[in-house]
Amino acid sequence: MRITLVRRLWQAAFLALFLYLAFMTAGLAARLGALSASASFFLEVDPLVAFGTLCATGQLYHLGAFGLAWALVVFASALVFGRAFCSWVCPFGTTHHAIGSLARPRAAKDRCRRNDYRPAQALKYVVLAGFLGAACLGSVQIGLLDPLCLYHRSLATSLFPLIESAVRAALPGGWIYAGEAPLFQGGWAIGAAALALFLANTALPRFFCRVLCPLGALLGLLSRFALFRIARDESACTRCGMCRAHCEGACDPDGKLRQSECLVCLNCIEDCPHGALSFRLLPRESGARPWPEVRDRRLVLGACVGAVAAPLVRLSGGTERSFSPAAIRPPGAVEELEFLKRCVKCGQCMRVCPTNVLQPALLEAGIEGVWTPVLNMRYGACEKNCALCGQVCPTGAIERLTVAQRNGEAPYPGGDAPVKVKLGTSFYDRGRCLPWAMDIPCVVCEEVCPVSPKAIYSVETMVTTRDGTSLAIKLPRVDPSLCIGCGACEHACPVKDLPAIRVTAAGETRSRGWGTRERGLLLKG
Amino acid sequence: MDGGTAGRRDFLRRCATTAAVGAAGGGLAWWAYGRQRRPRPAGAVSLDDLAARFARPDLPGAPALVVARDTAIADARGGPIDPAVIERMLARALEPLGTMARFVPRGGSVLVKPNAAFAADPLSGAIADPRTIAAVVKSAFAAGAAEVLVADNPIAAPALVFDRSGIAAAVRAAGGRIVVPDERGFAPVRVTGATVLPDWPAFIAVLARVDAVIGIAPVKDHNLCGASLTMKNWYGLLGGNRSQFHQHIHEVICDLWRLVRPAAPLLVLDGTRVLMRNGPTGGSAADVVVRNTLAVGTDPVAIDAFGVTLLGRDPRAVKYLVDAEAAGFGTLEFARRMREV
Repeated sequence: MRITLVRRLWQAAFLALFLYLAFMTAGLAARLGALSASASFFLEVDPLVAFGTLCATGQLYHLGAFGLAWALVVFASALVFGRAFCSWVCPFGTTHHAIGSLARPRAAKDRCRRNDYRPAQALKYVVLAGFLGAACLGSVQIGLLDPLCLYHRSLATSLFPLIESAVRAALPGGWIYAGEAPLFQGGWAIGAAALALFLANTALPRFFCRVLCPLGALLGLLSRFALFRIARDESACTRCGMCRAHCEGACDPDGKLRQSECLVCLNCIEDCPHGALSFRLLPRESGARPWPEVRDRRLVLGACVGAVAAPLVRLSGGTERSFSPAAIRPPGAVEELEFLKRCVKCGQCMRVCPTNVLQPALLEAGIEGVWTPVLNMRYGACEKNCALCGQVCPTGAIERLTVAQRNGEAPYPGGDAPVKVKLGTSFYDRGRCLPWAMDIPCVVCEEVCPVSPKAIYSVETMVTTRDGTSLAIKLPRVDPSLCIGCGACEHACPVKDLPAIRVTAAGETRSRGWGTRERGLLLKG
Repeated sequence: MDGGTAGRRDFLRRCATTAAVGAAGGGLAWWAYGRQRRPRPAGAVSLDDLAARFARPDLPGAPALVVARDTAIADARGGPIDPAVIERMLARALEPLGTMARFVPRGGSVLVKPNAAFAADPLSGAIADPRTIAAVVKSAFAAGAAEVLVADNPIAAPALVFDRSGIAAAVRAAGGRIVVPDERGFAPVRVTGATVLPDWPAFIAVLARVDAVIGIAPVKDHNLCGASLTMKNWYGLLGGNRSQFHQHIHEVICDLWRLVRPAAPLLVLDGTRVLMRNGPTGGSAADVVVRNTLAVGTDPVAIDAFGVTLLGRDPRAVKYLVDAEAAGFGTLEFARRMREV
């Protein structure tokens, strides 16, 4: 069998697996109550996720078997085979590969020209340096461009909903229903960014992989040490340039191979009419440029920009002091500064959330928290008997709690005492509340409050109505020591646009009760 | 041809082309202008139109309410019911009402509407027990039903509710089918004689498909109306912004019965566990008391009044039951028309 056919089968298999797992993260969750598999595995083998969070937290997160240590598999593959991950496994790369192939020009000469090396390909190393600089100062932003995080986020919050809504619209109006389609705030922008990257392949094949991908840059740097690479037999080579026709990496296989750019697609070997190219163990050193063509001072500059940007964006506050009332984190989330060191914005928690309450943040958590998960109670309410978001988080930004641990009914693994997770606290807006402001019976908030005893209680009070008659009406109040901030009340409030009871982050406790006094509310409880 | 103007032939051709394009545009505008219509909401339907389908044979002298008790169906903590025991109890209770065959036409389609409002453990008392629901599904199939649909429009996320509560698994094992609602299944329903409920989106997709309706409600405390029983259970057939119902809750509950009355539903009250306080959500084992009781009937006032006594309260203190009796829906003096088996 031809080696490129084998490669295509591998690519198709991994792309299908990734799409399947990402798709089923929602369905499996609802069906099983607990997940048996998720796309987390792809993020766990991602060395950039592992290295980025390692820079920020000083540890490799794992719960149970291996966790982020799986990244060593891809790390090792780069040391042996170079950037083979990019052309054999990466689902985002495969998608770009396929689109680029469809947009191929007819003439061989034009094809070859599209695969000439461009100096812009050095940009990804600067991007990587910038992200790692920021990560070292406690702000993990790799998820913005890491291909697996980016792809999963785009699928979860826009591409899948787009396809699902089209399928629902196309299905006949029978009576078999799939439930409501999820909606995501700002999902259009996430989807548009992904589609723009897909379209870029028509101008430059694998634009993302060649120019932007920070994971590709990391693997490119590692491939300097790779044992295998493309080798060219100079005596057989006529410099005809046919090897460039389908070169995915634009890595000059007919000259001095740019080892850091080579995506190991192996097309050149098949395209060479003279059999001059082969993928070999430890070929002669002089045949390749092992290091990317990027000046060291550029990398240092990139790292410095990242390292300055991280503290710079915090100068406006919002992360600790002056935190946003809308920065309500999912149950099991670790304390905010730690959260920003871990969250890679992959969006798996949003995909798995059965109530649609988890949303990609806009500016609720500051500019560095863009696309991290926050709760928006107008989309849903956090289900008290659910802890699915923590089951899929690959980096421990949301800890893997059980429902009992979340509700403070069981101690944590490792022996921390039980703590009931509070996401925030509900507050009444009495000017908008029907019983408080308008003498209209309601207390739906009390009805849906899921804790026992209810955090919302009502006191029957005699009021004098407009026409002077007396009316006994239930006026609701919040007991902040019982409120868990789930938002059931806010979601059910009949005042739909700006509910008369709203949860804000004040009074939250993070996982294990860790958190800052800054966001606390009560001295006791 | 010299000079700046076109020749005659050319002139005519170009004028004709321009005129044709102009006429096409004007014609399109003429056509579309004449199509102006105000978008009209879908007309409301009423279950009255379907009443003939739900007719069932009369049984003179049948009790309004049959109560079955058993000491063995739930342990002191309210623990799992033995499905076989609950099935026997159900059969025993249905006997004086003419068995399930009276309510389920042979070869017909049946809607079972359990109270599955929350993604809760059945032991919390906040939802109908999956084993009771499964017993009803099996009984309907045994009576000759061709299809049993189990549907509710819960307060919490539907898929999560059915899976977490164990209802989906129990119903599938019994051969029934869970129908998860989405907005396309709803259409406005008109309730004849409604006091407050305007035309409101209801789960018409299932209502229009079935030949019989069975409601299964747990016995629950309710923070605003006092008790949540079989009459309030019909809340789950509606969609829309139901949060507004609390503003006239007693009137709405009576209107819910007016909505479903044409379907002549069989009512099942699952009193194995009773949610005594902190309703309708519960959330603590301390809120639940074991009563080991199952009631079936056709009179919503009688069966709900009996349910209020399971809560240890006076049925006459529940305003919507008093209103319902006054409206002629049934009797609060349930004891006279009750049979215990």
